[in-house]
Amino acid sequence: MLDLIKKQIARGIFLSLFFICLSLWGGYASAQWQSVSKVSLNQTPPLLLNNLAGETIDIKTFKGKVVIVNFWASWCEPCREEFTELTYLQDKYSAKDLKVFAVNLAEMKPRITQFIKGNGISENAIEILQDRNSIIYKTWKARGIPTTFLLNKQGKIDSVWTGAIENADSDEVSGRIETLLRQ
Amino acid sequence: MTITRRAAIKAIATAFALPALNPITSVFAQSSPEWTTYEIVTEVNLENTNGAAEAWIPLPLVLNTDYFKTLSIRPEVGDTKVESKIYETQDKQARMLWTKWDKSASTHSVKVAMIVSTRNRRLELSSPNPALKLSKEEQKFWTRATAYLPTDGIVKVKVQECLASLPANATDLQKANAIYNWVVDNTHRDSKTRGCGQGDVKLMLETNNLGGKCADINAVFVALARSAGIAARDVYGIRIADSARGYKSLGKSGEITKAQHCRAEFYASGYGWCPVDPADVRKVILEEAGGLAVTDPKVVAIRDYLFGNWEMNWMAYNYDHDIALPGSKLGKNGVIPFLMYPQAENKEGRFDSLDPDNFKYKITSRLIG
Repeated sequence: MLDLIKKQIARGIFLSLFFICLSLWGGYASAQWQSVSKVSLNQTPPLLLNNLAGETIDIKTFKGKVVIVNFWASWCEPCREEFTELTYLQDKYSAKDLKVFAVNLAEMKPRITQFIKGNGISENAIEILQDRNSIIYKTWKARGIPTTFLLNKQGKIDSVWTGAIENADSDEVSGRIETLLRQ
Repeated sequence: MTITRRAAIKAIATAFALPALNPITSVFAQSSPEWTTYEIVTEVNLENTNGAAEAWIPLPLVLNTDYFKTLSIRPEVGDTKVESKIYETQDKQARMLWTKWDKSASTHSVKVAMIVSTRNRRLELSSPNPALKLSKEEQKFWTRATAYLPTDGIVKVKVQECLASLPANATDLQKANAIYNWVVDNTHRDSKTRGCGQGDVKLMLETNNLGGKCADINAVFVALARSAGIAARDVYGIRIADSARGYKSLGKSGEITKAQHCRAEFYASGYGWCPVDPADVRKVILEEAGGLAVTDPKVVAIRDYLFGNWEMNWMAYNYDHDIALPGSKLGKNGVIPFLMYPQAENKEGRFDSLDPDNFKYKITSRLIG
């Protein structure tokens, strides 16, 4: 019985290390804009949500701009770290017609406000939308947060970024955005 | 049934209280030394809301078992005119207190006190009872796939891996034990997982991310068991007392607002429903005394104990999956994978059930006998 337990422990340690390596590799491999076919979306799903001021925002009205749709929540550590990258992108490219929407997943306004104030983020730095029922998250077929969609000026999803954007200045991140802004 | 404040008080004395007028008196009359009795109170007071709203509070198991009995359920509504009733899901696997406030409501408070008795569970292997077996219908029901618990594809592949070393004539008990060990060995508790996790087994296996909390880890056990043809189910509930076995991480008393915990069961012919809890083995490894090695005697002991035993410092809510909350304006979009936390909606949508401070709700427990 003891031998069996030892074997199981050794196997457990081996498998744990194996899965850690796999997940690290997976994280590295997904740190890029990927084809939208990755999430099986044939067309841009609707996105009609309230912002923190209670105004209804419809991304269909943003045709002509390059749009970033980011799904996040304040309890998600990578999302929190990514937030400054998104505000940076909004600030850097706002004059060039980039609009960033940070779609909050299922949290209530007091929690979001607490997060913004607690991190010294200006309420106008980025447009936060409330997906209180997670319906938009599901229709956009995101499976995990943070997930970021990049839409071209025609309103079509160009690519998707799974996991946190860690360096908004990198060629991988801003290169693709700039290509779309030039189109 | 529409309950005003006066009607609710009347209801307390009739519909929900057990034979004696004072439920606590009846508790002591029915108790025996091996049973322990608790009062659990859930209070919901919706913050920052005006007008129409609805709330759903999980209630204890619909049917009593040999380890858990509901002695009384006493709802109390606030001052406003509200509609409140106990609702059971169609398959009777879950029940909840469903409260509706109309558009004139300015306060949104509801409270429910539950008195339950529990006793520890122990799988007795020495005396199988041939009469204990599931009907074909029950077997089919408890091996079914759900939205988050598929039984084919990658789940099937994994369970074949778990059972590869067993002989062809292995019993369900042996198979369940192999699955239990695989889950303990291959999953880990992730302290960053929100609430108790989602229990999306397919996603966990496909992404090779087997980290999570009880609703994830025990769901892996249930999905693998079902895929192997073994009837199995999650049992959603909440910790209501400290552990008498000396594990600080495995109990909670007093303020238990965030103490939700789900467990799992499988069915073995001759033995009935058998308790397991691989998620709590991983919890001990991560949290007990700042973290323990898998070889630590405390881990080895709890690993052995949690295959076939449950310490009943815990209240069972229900077994249900993919629950449509009655009356929800969200329809199919509002289906929840399980009901373990109070839920609520107003015209702006669903409240965040994992944020009791802003929701607001509070759950307390006290030992009463």
